[in-house]
Amino acid sequence: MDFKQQIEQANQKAAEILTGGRPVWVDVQPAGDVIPGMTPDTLLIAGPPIAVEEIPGPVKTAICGALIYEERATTMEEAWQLVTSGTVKVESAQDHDAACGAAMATSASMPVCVVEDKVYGGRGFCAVHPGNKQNVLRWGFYNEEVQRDLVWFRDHYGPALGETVRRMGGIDLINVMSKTAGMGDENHNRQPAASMYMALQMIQTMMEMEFPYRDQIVKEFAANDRFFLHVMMAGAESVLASVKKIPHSTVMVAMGGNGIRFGTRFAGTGNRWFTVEAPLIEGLFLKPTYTREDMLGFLGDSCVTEVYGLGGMSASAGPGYVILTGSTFADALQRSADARKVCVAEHMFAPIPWDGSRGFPVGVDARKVVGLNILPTSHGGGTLKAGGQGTMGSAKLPLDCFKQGLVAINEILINEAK
Amino acid sequence: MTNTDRIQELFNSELVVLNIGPRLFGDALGKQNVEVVQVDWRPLAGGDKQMQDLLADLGI
Amino acid sequence: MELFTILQKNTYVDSLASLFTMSVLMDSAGIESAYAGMATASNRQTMEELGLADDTVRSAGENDFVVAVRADSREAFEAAMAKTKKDERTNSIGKTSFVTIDDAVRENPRANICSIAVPGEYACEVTKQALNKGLHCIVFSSNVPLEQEREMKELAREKGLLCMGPDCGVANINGVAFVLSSINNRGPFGICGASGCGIQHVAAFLHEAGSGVSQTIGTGGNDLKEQVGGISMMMGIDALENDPDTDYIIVISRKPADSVLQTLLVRISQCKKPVVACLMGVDRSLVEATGALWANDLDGCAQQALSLIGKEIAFDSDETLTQMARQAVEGMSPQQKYVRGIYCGGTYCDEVMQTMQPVIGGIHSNCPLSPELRLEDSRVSVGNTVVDSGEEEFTRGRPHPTLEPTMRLPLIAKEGEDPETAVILLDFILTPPEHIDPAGVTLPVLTKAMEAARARGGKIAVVCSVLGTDADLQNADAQRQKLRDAGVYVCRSNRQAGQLAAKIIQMKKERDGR
Repeated sequence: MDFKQQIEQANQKAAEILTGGRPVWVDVQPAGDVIPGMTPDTLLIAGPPIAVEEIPGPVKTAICGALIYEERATTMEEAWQLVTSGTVKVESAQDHDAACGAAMATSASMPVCVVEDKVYGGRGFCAVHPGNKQNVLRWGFYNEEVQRDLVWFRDHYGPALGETVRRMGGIDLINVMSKTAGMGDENHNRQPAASMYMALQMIQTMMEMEFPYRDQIVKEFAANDRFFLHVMMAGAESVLASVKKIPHSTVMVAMGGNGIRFGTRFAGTGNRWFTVEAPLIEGLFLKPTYTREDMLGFLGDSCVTEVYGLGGMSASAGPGYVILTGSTFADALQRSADARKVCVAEHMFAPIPWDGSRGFPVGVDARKVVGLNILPTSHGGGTLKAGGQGTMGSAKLPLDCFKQGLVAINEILINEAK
Repeated sequence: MTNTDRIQELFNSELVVLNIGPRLFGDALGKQNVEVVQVDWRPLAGGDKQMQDLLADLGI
Repeated sequence: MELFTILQKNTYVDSLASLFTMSVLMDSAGIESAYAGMATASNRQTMEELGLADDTVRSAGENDFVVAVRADSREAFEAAMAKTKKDERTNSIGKTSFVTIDDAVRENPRANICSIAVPGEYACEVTKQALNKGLHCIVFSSNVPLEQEREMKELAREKGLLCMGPDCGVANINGVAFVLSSINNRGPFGICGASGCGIQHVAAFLHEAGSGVSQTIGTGGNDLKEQVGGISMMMGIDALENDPDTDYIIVISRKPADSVLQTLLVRISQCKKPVVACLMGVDRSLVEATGALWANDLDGCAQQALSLIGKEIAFDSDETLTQMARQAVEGMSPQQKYVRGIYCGGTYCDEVMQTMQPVIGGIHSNCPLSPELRLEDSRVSVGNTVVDSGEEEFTRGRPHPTLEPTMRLPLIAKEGEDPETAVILLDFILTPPEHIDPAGVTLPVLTKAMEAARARGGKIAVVCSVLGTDADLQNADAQRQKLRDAGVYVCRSNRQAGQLAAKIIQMKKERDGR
């Protein structure tokens, strides 16, 4: 079998898993109890691995905050000392089938959504979405209010959600997205319909249950129209966990930014990340006083939704977001059309009526990106250097990540052939 | 003599043209009410020689 | 002068569209130089060489479209950019385009033919892909190595598909004019030719005579070379012979390679349908031995073809041309001596020099009939000169003059300012993708030249021919009328334009007793 056939076969397998996988939200558990390779000394952050001294401000704040919350330190300085000394290891979440939104640092006791792919058996993880405010670890802030929230999530909010989904026998995320098809979500930066539909089901169960602070939990949960994002990030990871195990495949299985570097991983190249200087997420500044100089490079793992075919890949499904961030309906169609040209498969659970009833393109093939010179788009929110969200918009995936990936997979194939 | 059946078939068919390259030529066909399918052709890998060689082995 | 650059990230603009943009920029007031194109490594290199690269250009990638302009002022730059916006082609919603042939065919299974205009180095690969998808091909790309041309054509033959070109600008299939063809009426004549201009010329006369073409098959100029072996020509003749709508076959080519000529002559002699053969430079006896009607040149070819259906072309007689020349010479000043031709078509440029040379002697050119007549500088005319403005030194950074007639205006203007110019000689070749009014955009320059000559106490004669039909989008008749109304001598054909121009120069010389 020549290289080409080996790759074709592997990519075919990847396509099957990506479209055949069935992510179901089954539980909420402390990160340290469920995430593979996670220890009390592990912190997970977004994007490719990064040297400690390069970690940008907001992420550093989140890391130190997480360590204080874990009672490993009492001051920010003390906490940072644990990191620089190597006592605490900061690792890339996606190397653990987990994902971190923006500046988030996930530590062992934090509650994470556990999503299981019922067909291929993979499991993915992501912290419970903290709500629609800026003052959260996720946007690089840590203070008393954030601390209170973290404890609340750990002791009450997270366990209550976990019990609810367990009692419901899990929530099928494909079902949620099918039910809410056509409601304008692109399921990365806009997901009110999916969040509401999920709440619609969960609140019924919550009302039948007895747990402390029930009313407050229900109220908080129902008020968060972005809740679905973190569940879906875990969902994407659960399916990608199986794709990551396919040798020789040129399909992208991870991507994200750490604020300094942006990176991708491909199924056939193992744990290696291929990185470039992180691009900016451009579109709409949330305050007119913000400038490009205020922005960090691409930060966050929420683009794992794109790796799974949502967000910018299926932009035409949610053109409202594209228009809101300064582009046009034609751009939205173009983003999906471009993505289809470089993907190995198409999700057909929610055909898009105004886009020729086409589905969501999924499984970016590095060969096609490089060969056709077509760059898929990721949606995203840009983080300010000072912390907080500065933009919402999009970024083209950097070509060089894909070129590096091809060189690497070629080396692997050559070595194996020897 | 070559078998010209496929050419005769073309002569007896309504044309559906793939215009590969500059749109100007496709537009000119469009003005003649011909069905045109535009292919915005670009060199493989944007002309990057190293990548072209790589893709020759890895396929696309 | 100041350098202004614009970077459009991730925007694809094809090379021809870039050329049009560049052309508009360069023709704008206050612009010294300009470049527009995708920021590929080679284009960036070109921009460095032109002194048009700055950090923006250097930072651009191969997916980005860049424009760089050296201008007097920001106002001049912005005004020039605004002009380019007018023609901007937008990819309208609902009209999807594809990036690969595979995808395009998958979504459009009825596709049966393709028109290929990609850089020569990629033409073979792209054509083979299309052939493998079962598409007949018209390949406009040029500079394709002969061995690759053969490879493409052998594949086409194996599959029974037409491979027209590379370097094929003219093909009229099922009444549809491809690339640079004129729009023709349909009729009983099938043309297979290795000269696009030749095919278009003959087809236009058939059209004008109320007849027309069944199919015209261009083979590309290199088909009858030894290395290619006339594969497309033979297949084309086969196809036309088997085509019930074709009653007569016309074969047009410059002189084929000897081995290919033998095969071709045998094929013609076996043809069951009447053949008119215009094989320039091949002995008349060889052609007539095949039973074909012989034609010496393109006009003769059209004439022979029409004789088969009992028609005739009314070319201007020698007397008429002499009379026209006499009138043209009247009022010219003694200083005026030379003919200056500015041509779009390479074949026409050749033909007109062949026509004039026996009468007025050697003609200087950038593509001369013999090497000693090569112009040192293509932009500086010497004595009698005819230049092919489609040659690289003129088209660099601009579209070909058959697509963009304004690109030769500065060359015409220059000749008009030269007090030694007696005749300005031009060809107009109408094509569907071309400017909708080539005569109209050229006339102001011609009128100005004629007025300037009068002001100098002389008179410039403008002589031209228009190749095209009344079915062309520009309407050849209307174009001719427009030129005549402005005092231009519009001849029946390019050969006749050459005859008239030569007569004028000759007569002028006699009058001045030189």
